[in-house]
Amino acid sequence: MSVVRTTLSPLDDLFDALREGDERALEQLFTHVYNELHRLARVVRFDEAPATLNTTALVHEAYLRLQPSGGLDVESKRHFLRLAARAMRQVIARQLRHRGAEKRGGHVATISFQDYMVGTEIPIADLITLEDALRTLEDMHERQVRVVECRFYAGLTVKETACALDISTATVKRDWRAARAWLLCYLRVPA
Amino acid sequence: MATPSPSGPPAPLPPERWEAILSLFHDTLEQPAKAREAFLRAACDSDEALYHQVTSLLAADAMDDSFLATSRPLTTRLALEHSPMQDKRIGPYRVDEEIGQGGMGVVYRAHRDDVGTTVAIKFLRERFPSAERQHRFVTEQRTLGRLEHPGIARLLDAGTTDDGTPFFVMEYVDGVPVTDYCAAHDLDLSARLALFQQVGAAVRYAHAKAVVHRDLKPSNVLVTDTAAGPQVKLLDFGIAKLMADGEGTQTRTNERLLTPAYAAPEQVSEGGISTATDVYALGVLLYEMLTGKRPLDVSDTSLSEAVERILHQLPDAPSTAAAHPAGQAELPPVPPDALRGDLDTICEVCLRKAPERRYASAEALCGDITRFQTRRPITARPDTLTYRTGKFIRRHRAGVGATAATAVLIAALVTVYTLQLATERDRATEQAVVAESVVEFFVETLEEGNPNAVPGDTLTIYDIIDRAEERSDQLDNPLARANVLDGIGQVRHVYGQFDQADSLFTRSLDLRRAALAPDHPDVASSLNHLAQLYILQGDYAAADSLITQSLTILKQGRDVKANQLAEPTKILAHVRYRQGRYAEADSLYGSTVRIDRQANVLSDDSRADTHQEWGMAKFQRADYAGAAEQYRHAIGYFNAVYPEGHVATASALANLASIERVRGEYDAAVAGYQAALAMTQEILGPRHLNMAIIQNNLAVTYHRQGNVDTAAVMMAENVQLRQDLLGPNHPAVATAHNNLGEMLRDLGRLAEAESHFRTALTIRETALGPEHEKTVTSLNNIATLHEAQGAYETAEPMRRDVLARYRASLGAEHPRVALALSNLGSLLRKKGAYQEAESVLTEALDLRRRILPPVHDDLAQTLRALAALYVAREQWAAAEPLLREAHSIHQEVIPEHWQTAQTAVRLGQVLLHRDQLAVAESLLVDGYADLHTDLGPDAEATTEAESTLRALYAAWNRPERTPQVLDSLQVASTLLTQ
Repeated sequence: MSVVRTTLSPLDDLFDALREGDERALEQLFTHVYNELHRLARVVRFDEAPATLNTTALVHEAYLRLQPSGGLDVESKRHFLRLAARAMRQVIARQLRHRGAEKRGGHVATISFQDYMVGTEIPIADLITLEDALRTLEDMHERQVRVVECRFYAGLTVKETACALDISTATVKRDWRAARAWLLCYLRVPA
Repeated sequence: MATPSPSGPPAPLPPERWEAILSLFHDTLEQPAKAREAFLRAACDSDEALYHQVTSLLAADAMDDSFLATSRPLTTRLALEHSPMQDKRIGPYRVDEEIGQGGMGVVYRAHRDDVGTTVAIKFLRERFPSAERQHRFVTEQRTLGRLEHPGIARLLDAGTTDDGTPFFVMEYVDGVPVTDYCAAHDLDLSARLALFQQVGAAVRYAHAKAVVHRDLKPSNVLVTDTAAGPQVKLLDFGIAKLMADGEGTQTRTNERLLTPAYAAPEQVSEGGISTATDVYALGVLLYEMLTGKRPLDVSDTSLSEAVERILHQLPDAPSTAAAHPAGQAELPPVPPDALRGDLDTICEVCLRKAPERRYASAEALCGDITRFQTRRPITARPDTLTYRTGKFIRRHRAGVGATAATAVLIAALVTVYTLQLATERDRATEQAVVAESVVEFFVETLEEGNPNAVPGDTLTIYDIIDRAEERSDQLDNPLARANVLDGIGQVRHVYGQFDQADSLFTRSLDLRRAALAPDHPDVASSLNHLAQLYILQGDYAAADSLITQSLTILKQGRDVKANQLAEPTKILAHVRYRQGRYAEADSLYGSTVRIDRQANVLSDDSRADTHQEWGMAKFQRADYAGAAEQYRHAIGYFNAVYPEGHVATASALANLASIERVRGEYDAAVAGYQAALAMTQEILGPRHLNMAIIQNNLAVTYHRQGNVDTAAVMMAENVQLRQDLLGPNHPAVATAHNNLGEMLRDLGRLAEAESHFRTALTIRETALGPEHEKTVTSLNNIATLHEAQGAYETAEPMRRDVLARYRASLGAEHPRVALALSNLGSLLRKKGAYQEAESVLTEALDLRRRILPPVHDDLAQTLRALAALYVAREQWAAAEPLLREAHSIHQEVIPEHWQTAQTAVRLGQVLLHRDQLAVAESLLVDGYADLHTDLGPDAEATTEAESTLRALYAAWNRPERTPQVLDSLQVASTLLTQ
């Protein structure tokens, strides 16, 4: 019956701990972020049909909701974005699995904000394969996978990705280019 | 290169290997395209595998049109397909086809084989995180199943599928969203309102069962055509709450993202959800049904931007929105004129940001719509000082939901009775018994709650009140019952449920009258409460009678304390003010303040109101100094209660400034208006009628102050603002045009001035009629303008028209008719039409003699005008007596004024021609001296006097005296002016 605000102090503590290098805090933080994104992802954005997930908006939304009262310092924000991107990937993977899509097939339509790729269709199977491929790539070059999570799953810009991962924009571009090429090879997407 | 196999993920390459591939990949890309092949060959040497791997990568890199695009900003929307449930069997139902997608899930049509009924099944997107949640879901949906109303789609069943997907089975509704229905059938205003009333009826029913919808929007409000006409059906009642995760942020997040266009401010911040939340959504729906637009546009914004708008942006009034329809609007708006006024107000009340300031219930909202439909006055008031919502709600500003306020109220009532109990416990009296049972009663009711309500949040408040009312019959002691009914009545009053409050107070009153002595203060208290209700509804006669009875009781009663008189005295003062009995109101407010000073019984905001109203009463009695003092007190109290500013404070500031203006204290007035304007703008936004009024007054003050440029600029803005708010044909717009015309005239911009006067005239002729005082004033202004420019030909017919209109509307013996005659006569004289001028002016003079006292400036004006006519025709004998009379009037009424001196000069002129040279000399000398002092040597009147003096001395054959006299007079006057 209460209208009590949920306190954010547990997250405050986590961010503090993170700054001090506590690895477990990272894990817990990830759980928070994941849960939050997961919840957010359950609901539709503004129009009623078709069900859409605006991933970038969700990440920013999650950031707004989870940041402690004083806001985050640069370091913590980095952590956050990184986690959000990873969480986003997991959220989508889970959504796909839940649909049982791999059994039935079907398509996912990608619509870019700037109408670049209106109507491009990605077979759901490919998205699932992508997930598998990423798992493999993670053992080869973890940073490249993070870049893919930031750029593709969370829709962050090159600069935001660079900030999140604490690397240069040039590195972001190279990593992305290489990872993409490898993933496409693996997916055997026809030219 | 790792070859993908369709049956599983590839084996990873060793990291060092991958590094090698990577650096070669990047290095190759840095080569010009033609050189790459060679470069790669060379670098790979004999490592074939490496060569192939890098080549594959390069080939993949070259592919641009894949979903993993290279350089584009990757903001993607992934549209996820629903899991098809088609043809599945869910209990006794078989799923047919998908009929829609909603915020929470997908809806299918299904049918029951055995019975043949058609239903709708909604599958939700997400499963329950815990068994406990699932259990709660099952129990709560039973409540929803009990909603049985023709306007609500019934919830038939609910459950979860094998794989844990929750679903609802609902009555199948074959209809279209209500907004589409209105568009398709081209419904007019009354048809749209009729549909809305159906929606309201359904919501009322659900609220009575303590169920809040939380997600009202057109897609949840369907209309079907039945034999009996269109039938509205509401979908998804209460489902939003059902699907909420629980307390805290999660709930808010979900609701937040649901449908921002319909989300109430408390849904996107952390306020409490209540029936007022549904009222907000109903307001949005009504707005959309009437105008084809939504009040707030959040369609293409980010979430945080949308939240910002919902919390802070004030929507346009429906009439404004209807006046500017959206380009491709599907639903055409109702004509704006029909919306202006009451419907604007109704929507505004629904859409208020603070829940406790909206209609408290769908019932209240529908009540006002019905009143509008039956052309009765609505109960809602736009946001002005005179709207009372009761002191409890006033004290709690935005952010406190209905719960807190009513909880405070109930707690306060309980406290009062508990205190009463404590002091009287020693005396085993009737009162102690009563107080005890009342306390017990309320506490019990609160504890009991309502077994049927959905647990959680604020819904149980209404339920508590209803329950308390139901249970009140169980109280044996009639006084206890009376007290309980009175308490509940106060709560209902606060929430705008006036009819119920009326009946409760009346029942309480009857019980008290029966059980107590007729002069018992509690009887008076009931009368007070009833009187306040009647005031709110404008029935001052009834309020008068009740309050008078109350005061009689209190003054005669034995057990009465002085402080009990404060409230009823204040109420009576207010009634007297409304009745126009200002002297009595003045004295009563004074009494109220005196009593309060001794007994300290009123709250600060009540004191603020008292001083403000007292000020208004004094103002009406032209006691400007007294009014100003009271306004200052009022402002002090308002600032204490509302340090962040309030419409009431702004109103008081503006009132004070008006007084200062009337008294000529222009600097203070300007400062006051500016403060009022700034505060009003901050609270209400720049497009509000209060702004228009204050801005007008400020501009007029600038004008009086002599700051005419500023005044004109501001007044021009005011014209525009009034036009935007009221439409171009509203009389208030005419007022602004008229004021602007006067300012432009004083700036010498005569053509523009005339254009505004004409606009004012046109509006007033249509809106007020050709004979309305204001209309004629506009016409007169134009005539004066023409006359001042010497355009006598065009001015004359207008002056005649003015005269005719005044005669028609005011009768022949009215001062304005005399004025119009006088003006016409002067014009005719200037034009040279002496004969008619004489007859008109004579008529004017006779009329003024009849209706004015013998010593009056207007009389003197007419005498002068007629005399001027005779002078023009050199009829000195006729002119003399008129000027004598005029001069004597002036000497009595305005002895220091230069016009008196001028009249003396003119009389002297006439006497000169009648050979009364000595008398003429003394008049002329004095007159010239005064004019020289007052107006300076170059004014027209002064030079006229000077040349008359010269003529005098010439006629007297003493031309040498001229310079002597003139010099001495000039020296004298120079000395005077220094």
